[in-house]
Amino acid sequence: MDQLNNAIMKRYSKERKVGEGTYASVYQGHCVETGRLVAIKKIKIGQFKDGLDMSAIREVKFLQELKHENVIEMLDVFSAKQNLNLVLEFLTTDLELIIKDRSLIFRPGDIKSWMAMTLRGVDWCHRNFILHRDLKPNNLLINDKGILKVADFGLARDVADPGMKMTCQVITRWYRPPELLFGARAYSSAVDVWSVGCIFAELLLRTPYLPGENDIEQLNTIFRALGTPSESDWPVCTDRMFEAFANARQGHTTLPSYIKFKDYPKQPLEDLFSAAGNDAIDLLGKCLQYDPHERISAGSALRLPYFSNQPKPTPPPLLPKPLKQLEPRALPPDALAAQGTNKRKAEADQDQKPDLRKVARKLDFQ
Amino acid sequence: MNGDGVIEENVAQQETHDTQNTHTPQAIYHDSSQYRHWRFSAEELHEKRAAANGKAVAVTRAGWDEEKELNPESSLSTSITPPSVQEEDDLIVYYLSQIRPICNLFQFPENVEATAMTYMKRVYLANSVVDLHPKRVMLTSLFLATKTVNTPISAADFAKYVGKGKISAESILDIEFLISQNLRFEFATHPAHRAAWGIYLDMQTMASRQSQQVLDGVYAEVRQLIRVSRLTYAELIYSPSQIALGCFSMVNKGLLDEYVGWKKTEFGAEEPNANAVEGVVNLINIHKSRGGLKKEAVQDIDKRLKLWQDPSKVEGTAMYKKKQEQAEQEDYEKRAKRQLEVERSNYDGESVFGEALPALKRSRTNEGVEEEQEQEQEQNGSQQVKQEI
Repeated sequence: MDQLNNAIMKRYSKERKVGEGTYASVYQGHCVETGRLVAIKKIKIGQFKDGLDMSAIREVKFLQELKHENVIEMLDVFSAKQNLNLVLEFLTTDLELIIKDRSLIFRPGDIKSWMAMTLRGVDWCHRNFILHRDLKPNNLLINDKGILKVADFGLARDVADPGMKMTCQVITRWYRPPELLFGARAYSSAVDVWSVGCIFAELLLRTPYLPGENDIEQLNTIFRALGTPSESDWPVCTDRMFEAFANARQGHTTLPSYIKFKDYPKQPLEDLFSAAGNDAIDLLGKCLQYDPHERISAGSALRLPYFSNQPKPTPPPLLPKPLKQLEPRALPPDALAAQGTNKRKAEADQDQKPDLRKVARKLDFQ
Repeated sequence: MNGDGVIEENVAQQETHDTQNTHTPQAIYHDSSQYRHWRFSAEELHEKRAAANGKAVAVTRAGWDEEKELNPESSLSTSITPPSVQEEDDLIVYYLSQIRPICNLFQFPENVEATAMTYMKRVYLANSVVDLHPKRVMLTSLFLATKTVNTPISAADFAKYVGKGKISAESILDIEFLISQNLRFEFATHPAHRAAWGIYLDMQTMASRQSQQVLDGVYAEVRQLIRVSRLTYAELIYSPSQIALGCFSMVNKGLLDEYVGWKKTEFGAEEPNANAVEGVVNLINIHKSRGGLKKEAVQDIDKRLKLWQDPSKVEGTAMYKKKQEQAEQEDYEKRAKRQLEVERSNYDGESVFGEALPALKRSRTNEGVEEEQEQEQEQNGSQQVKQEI
């Protein structure tokens, strides 16, 4: 085991540090043999009272399984003393930097290309029954050839079995769907699609579409933009055929944290996104559906006319690139502190916890 | 999760892993780490277990010989029979069977139980019970599984309820990293009970479906058999759906045949691999006929296991002393090397890690920081790439 580990370790060189956080540091390095540029994410362990950190486990678990052009590739894992090192493909920039770079001009085909790559990556996760739960421009990394990759699986998890509760404290607030803001504990891949809708809007607007100051304000912001949902927009499901899924198929008014909001009128998306074509508005509207069951899946979204209509998606190497190199970026949970109230970082939380009061005190091994 | 697995498995048997195919739904299981790294033939499996046993036994033997040389008066008894591969397996199975009661007490979902058992079996592919006691491996595998399948619990609580005050959180966490290494940090598993659940759901949509009562009855029995299958090496040889099919065939062959026929005509599924299904049934039957291990038998193996230890790990032996001295020597050398590094970086004024001076100041008071630095230097090794940050 040690030999295998050391053999992997020797395969890579670790050079300059490109990111720092309390739980991990990221280094730029090379694969010694091929000269390929890599990023080495060094996760400090042994400092946590509960052993290996949940987000490290999640990241490693899912990246070991997901191999797709639009998902960040993990080349290897090795350990050095009490550190876990993830060898990832090196990506030069991210979508947030591109959106913020005012010197760049986006053509409609550019946005279509980024959206197609994002949806392909997200669809691949969903087809593997994995929820990402933290999609945002900052987590969509881009390589030197312009290929976009979904990254940062620290909050990801498998789709839960019916009846199992999941935490609603996931997804960075501005990209968090209303069902999570209302406290839903049973949800689906639709939560990621809402985030993709917000990212699409941000690409069109060049500024975050729904920037709420806090969780309540976030719902207000959403409703101001899209109209307060009525019972018919997000109905209580009376379909008893799928008894097991009854919990998931509930209307918003029955969700745990539901509160009544001011009745904002619906505004057509065309009013704000005046430069976008009908096919683009169609995709956006389908991603930002209130009822999670009506929200389009990533796979179906890719088959909408928007992606086959003119203009064609820009080939990745021709996409706009920022002049600036990727700067050292704060890693979670530091990002959280740095962002203050306008936090762009999702909160890590635990899903279902066992009730210890019910645990009997006596156990016998032999 | 659904019965489509039936189709996949025939392909899976033929080892035709085609990376070009990764984007077709059928190939998703083939991309999994379980398919790529954790499936063996029965012979390979036996070889691996025998190799691990042989190696561990030889290490102890060599240790004893050396001990005798160092200390002719050694009181170590060398006349014990080492644990055989079969005895190792028995012991592992015994501790595998202890996972279920613990999971019941904590009310962990079945996924946690299945995953912990998978981890334990994978660990013993390359290790002997002589190196790592199965009780420890069992507890740490279970603790790790609670985290990898989203049912985290604090290490302190886990140890408290499991250990009756005799097991510390540290002893569980101590080998967590080692276990993870042995798992190649591949935490995702594809348990057979989910495949069985998929087939059960599938059967409810069959045109000629049986009454719900019949299906529920069959499924309840299947679940019992799946639990038994977890006490065998089936999952290291067969795919989840093959195991599920095997269990269904044991409970109601007629229903399964009808189901397979329906999958073939309606969905173009291939005939399941009969050898694999039969292999699963055999493993379950063998386990059933052998029955569980008696407590006394476990205690006997356990007792010999305690005596059959590498003397360098047993306190009070000459080998132990020697190892301690070696460790001290290494420690001394490390310190000397570190001192040298400090001096060198004082000359250079700047190290690879940027602000060397403040960091070094801290390192005198903070052991952690110092450790960290030393490690980095080792990582960079001879390359000494010095770049601005």
